[in-house]
Amino acid sequence: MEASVSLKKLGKVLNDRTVLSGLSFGIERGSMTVIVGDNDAGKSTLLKVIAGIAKPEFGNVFVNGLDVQLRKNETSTVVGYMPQSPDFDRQLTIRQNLTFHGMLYGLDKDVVRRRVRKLAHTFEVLDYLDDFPESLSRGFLKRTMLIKVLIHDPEILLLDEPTTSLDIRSRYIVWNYLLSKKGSKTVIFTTQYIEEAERIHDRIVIMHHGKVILDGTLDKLLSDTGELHHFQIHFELLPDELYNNLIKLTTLVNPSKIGKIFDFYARERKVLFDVIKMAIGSDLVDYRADKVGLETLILTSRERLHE
Amino acid sequence: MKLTAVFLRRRLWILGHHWLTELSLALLLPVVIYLSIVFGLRNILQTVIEGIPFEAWVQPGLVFVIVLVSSYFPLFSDLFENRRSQSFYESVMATPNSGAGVASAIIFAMVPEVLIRALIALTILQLLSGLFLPLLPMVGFLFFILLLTLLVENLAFSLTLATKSSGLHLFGVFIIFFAIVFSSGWIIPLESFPAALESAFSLLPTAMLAQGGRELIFNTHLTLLSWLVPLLLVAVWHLLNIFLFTKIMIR
Repeated sequence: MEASVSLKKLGKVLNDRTVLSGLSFGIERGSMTVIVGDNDAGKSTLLKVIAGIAKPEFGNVFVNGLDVQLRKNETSTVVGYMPQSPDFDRQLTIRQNLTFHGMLYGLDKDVVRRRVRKLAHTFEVLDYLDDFPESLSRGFLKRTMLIKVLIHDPEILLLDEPTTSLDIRSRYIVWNYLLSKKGSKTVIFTTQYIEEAERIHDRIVIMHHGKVILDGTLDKLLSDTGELHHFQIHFELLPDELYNNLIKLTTLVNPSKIGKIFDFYARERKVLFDVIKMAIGSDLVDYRADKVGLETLILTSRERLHE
Repeated sequence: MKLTAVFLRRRLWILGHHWLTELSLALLLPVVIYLSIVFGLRNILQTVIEGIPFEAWVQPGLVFVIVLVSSYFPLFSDLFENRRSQSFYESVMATPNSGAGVASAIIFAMVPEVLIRALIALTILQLLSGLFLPLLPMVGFLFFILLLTLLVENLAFSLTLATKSSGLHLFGVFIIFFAIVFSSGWIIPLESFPAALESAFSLLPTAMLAQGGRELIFNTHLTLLSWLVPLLLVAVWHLLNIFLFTKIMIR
């Protein structure tokens, strides 16, 4: 499939700190890509660089084949960028904010008026258009920020945590709309909600300290882990002697002690029984066994990177 | 030009939300300034300066004071507030507009409202003093008001971009305003200062504008340097602001 956004050896340094390092990948047209990672992973900076409002020190970003740094005026007409925090002028009403933003794209006032009305209806904020941003809750603001991004009908949406602080209903409205645009709009979004990332995506990019550490569909990423399972065994007491014996089992991956809990990963479920056999005689309280999900995948891949 | 029109519309919306306050300020400010400055100073200073009654001589200076206040604070509030606590300008920069275009639009969109305030002030001051200045030179004087507006807008723009704390900023601005108002010959003739200071102060672009404006109004004579120097300064400063704005907004 044709790439909508391409990064070539992209690097960015801020205050002598590398925030993006050697990123090279393409994002397919009409796909939905989620970028996850820690707070300092470089997710927001990456979106800003693609939007053309942050300058990379190395490499290039191409939007529809055009270099963002050299042809920003052309690329920004097809890109809609939504920052993490509210981007409204507090002195204007929501309607005026949206109209102003539409006019910045050179849109006719009547076109903006029609689009505002239609999108406000879709995102259920029609009754709040004449309110000032300060009088609206964060959830409403996020929804209206989405209208702002969509006002010039961009083909690429860059959304920095679009559903943070949204209630369940708002999240439903937002995803319902974005999923309805799947195939026609390229959506690149960041999120702190793991379940959201697992559910809504074509591709997951996991970033850590400005680098992509995992990239692919959830199924592919999980299959790469070799069907890893996560176990936790809760003891009445977990003395160091017992812990040191347990970690000698070579089939355990990444064992650790969290208070009275013995935490480990394993390729096969039967490893749990090996551990229980070794721990016989100790007071077992409870146990937990899960197939590895995205959350664990992020944690383990980060730990592997540090090893 | 189109971008300036968009920012101008934005200013109109903002003014529309508190038009009563804005109108009251536009009407009251010249009255307050006239009463507090003219009534106090005319008994201290000479009643006739360069052959012109003090009440008439001081009028261009008083209009300049109003232009200074009216130009500075709306721009500071617009740029500082929206930059500090909101991602407003981040989203503006993500649109297909250059940093130069946005910076210029912010500055130019403020000009019409300042000119209107200045015209209201001129009218009120003349009514209060009962001294009516000649009409044609007054039209030319608008050019000096425009130059001062652009000069102050650029000052506000630079200082606001450099500001992180509003308290510190306003303290600094108060000192700068104080210096400009009293050392530019707006309300106190420069001849009142020692010769060395008088020579130094007369080189200030704000003093040149006041001197040139008065020359035009009272002697119907336009001196080249009085507007050319401020105009060049405005042009250079504007370019510097465009550079700073783009540098700060796209990092």
